[in-house]
Amino acid sequence: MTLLRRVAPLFALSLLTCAGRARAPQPPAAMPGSDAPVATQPPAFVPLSADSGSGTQAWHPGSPRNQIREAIFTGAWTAVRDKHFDKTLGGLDWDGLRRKYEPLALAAPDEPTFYRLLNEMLGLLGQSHLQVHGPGEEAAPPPDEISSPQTRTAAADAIREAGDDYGDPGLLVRIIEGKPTITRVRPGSSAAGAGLRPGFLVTHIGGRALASLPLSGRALRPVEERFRLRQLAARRLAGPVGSRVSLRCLDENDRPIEVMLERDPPPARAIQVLNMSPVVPEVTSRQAGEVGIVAFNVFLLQPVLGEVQKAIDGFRARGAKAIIIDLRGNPGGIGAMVIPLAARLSTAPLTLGTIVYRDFSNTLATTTSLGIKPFAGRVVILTDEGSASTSEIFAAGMQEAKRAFVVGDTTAGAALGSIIEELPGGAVVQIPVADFRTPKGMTIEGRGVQPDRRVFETRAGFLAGRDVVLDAGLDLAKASRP
Amino acid sequence: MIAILLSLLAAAPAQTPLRPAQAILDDYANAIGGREAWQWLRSVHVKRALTVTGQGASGSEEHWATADGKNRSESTLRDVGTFRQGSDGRVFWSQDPVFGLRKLEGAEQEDAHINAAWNAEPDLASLYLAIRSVPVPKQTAAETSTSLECVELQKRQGKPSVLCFDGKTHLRVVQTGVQPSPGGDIPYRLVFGDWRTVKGIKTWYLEKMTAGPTTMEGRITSLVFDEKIPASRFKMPEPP
Repeated sequence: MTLLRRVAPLFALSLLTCAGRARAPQPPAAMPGSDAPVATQPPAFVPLSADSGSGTQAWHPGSPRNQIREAIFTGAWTAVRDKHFDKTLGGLDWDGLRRKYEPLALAAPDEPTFYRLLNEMLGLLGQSHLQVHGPGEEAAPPPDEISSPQTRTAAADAIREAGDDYGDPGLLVRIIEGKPTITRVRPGSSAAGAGLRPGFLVTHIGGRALASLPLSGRALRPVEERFRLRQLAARRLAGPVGSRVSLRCLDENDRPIEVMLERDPPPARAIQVLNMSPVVPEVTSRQAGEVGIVAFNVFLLQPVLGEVQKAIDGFRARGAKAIIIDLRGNPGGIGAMVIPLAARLSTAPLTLGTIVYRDFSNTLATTTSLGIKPFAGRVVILTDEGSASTSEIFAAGMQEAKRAFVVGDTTAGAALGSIIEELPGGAVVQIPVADFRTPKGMTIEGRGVQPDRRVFETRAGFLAGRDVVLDAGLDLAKASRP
Repeated sequence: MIAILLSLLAAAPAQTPLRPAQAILDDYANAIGGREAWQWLRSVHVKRALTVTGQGASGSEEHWATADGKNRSESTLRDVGTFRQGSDGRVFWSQDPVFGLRKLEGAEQEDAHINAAWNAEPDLASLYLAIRSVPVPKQTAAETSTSLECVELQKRQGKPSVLCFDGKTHLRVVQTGVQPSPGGDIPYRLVFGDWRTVKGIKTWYLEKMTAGPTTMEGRITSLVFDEKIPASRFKMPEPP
């Protein structure tokens, strides 16, 4: 009895199609000092504080930290060579790129530069789901963000980001009409208490301007820039519960205001799945007349799928004629969830597309599952620039099968299947191991899902308290003929 | 030119004639304790620890089977879910978070039958439509220094599997094939190791599967023969 292969299909479909960040690196319990012998064991994390200085002299060949960098570089380079879905790696001279980038990266004056160079090399492939993260990759923040009760060190960052005590002040920042704008304030949050409202423009978080992105490994499309800025804002806002972060804004009359916000506890316990960054799953549902609305912030087989299925079954039982699936800001997650979700929303077998691996492909097809009564009414999917990966696979597949209308903004265009592998030294690499094609053979990577009804959001709309995308979705859901 | 040709001929490996497939399988049956030792077993209950290499996932697996052809397996991968498969001897079923509860049909059913057949190890040929000995597949040959003998096992539906045995110990070493699924065939490669003898029969305690970019390891943590297993264990779950 060879039992393992029974679970192969389940795991093959459980690829991470998530355009968020890979798990923050975690140092092992033992941290050798800079002169610790590492030649006979796998390189381990060495905190920056273990070095007497930050100059280039610490990176002489053969130093423990240089060995770690070498191991991280080799691990990432090899993993991409051996596991990327495209064996040709886009025709790039992968060996040549190693010869070019390895000496540069190993001689980098600091960790942020090392990771930037490594990601620059990976970025030449021009794809999402391809990144390396590791200890010390982000430059230290300016002093006004260090209002945390904890001492900020690279090691502490890594531990905190992976821990349960991570929160935020309760606001969402997106790029609206080209400017970072507050689009949602969580009721009862620190942000709400400080009087912040949707429609306020954000200029600085933690003392740092939000107008431009840190150097990226590759050129970004406009929608990707908006997506990345949104993620960047979320990362800067997040931190240990109880710590504080400053925020500079322009209010509804463009008057500058500055507030110091405390990071609230998350609404639920954060979970970590398959080396992804910890996430607090949120599923909300409500019924507005004959329209059921369900929103969720990540695709997970546990615990999100069950909650969403329960919501859909509830709408059906209460006689809903249409269901709105709100995928705005949902960066993806476990790709396999699209199958049971689509099965719940279609009375006929449905094919959402194909996952194309390096050596084989697998169809995302629904099956007839015993005891399930699917919803037969109209389905509307809401998207924005933050809808990525699994969200895009689901939206594209449902749209092409003519089972759903997509309303909102063009999605991120980051739709590949990936795995996140551990590297030496506490680093991780995310590798795109599968491409996605719609049933008609179209790729979503690099272009996104084009909505059937494009809705432009404005600052004025947010200041007026309107959700124009949801309004458009409700109109379509209620219309006698779309 | 002649010298070059001669040197090439000299360097070419000698083609050893392949032994008959049934002889290879008979040697395997003897290596794992012989058919006699297996026929007295009435049930098996296996527990295994699962690890997905380098991807931060782990889980567990439990398998029950009885001599009258009933079986049930439950594999739980943390954050992915629980996969159940079984048969009461008549109906083959599967239940998982992606495809829900299903009665298996076609190639999936045949595969489940092969996977779960009682005491099939000493009599593998009986499960397949045809068997034949084949040369060691190139990739397998490149990855092992052991001398291997391989048998192709042709199913009634779907693509064949190739099972390679150690030429000296006659134990399983590598198996390649495809796993049928609702979305299509998934190529896999299994490597067996850590052989141990329990109650006179020899079985592998370590199984490593590579499917696409993922490598998963299963290691037996408990193996109990002839435990009393209630018939209710093998009933197909009620639809939700």
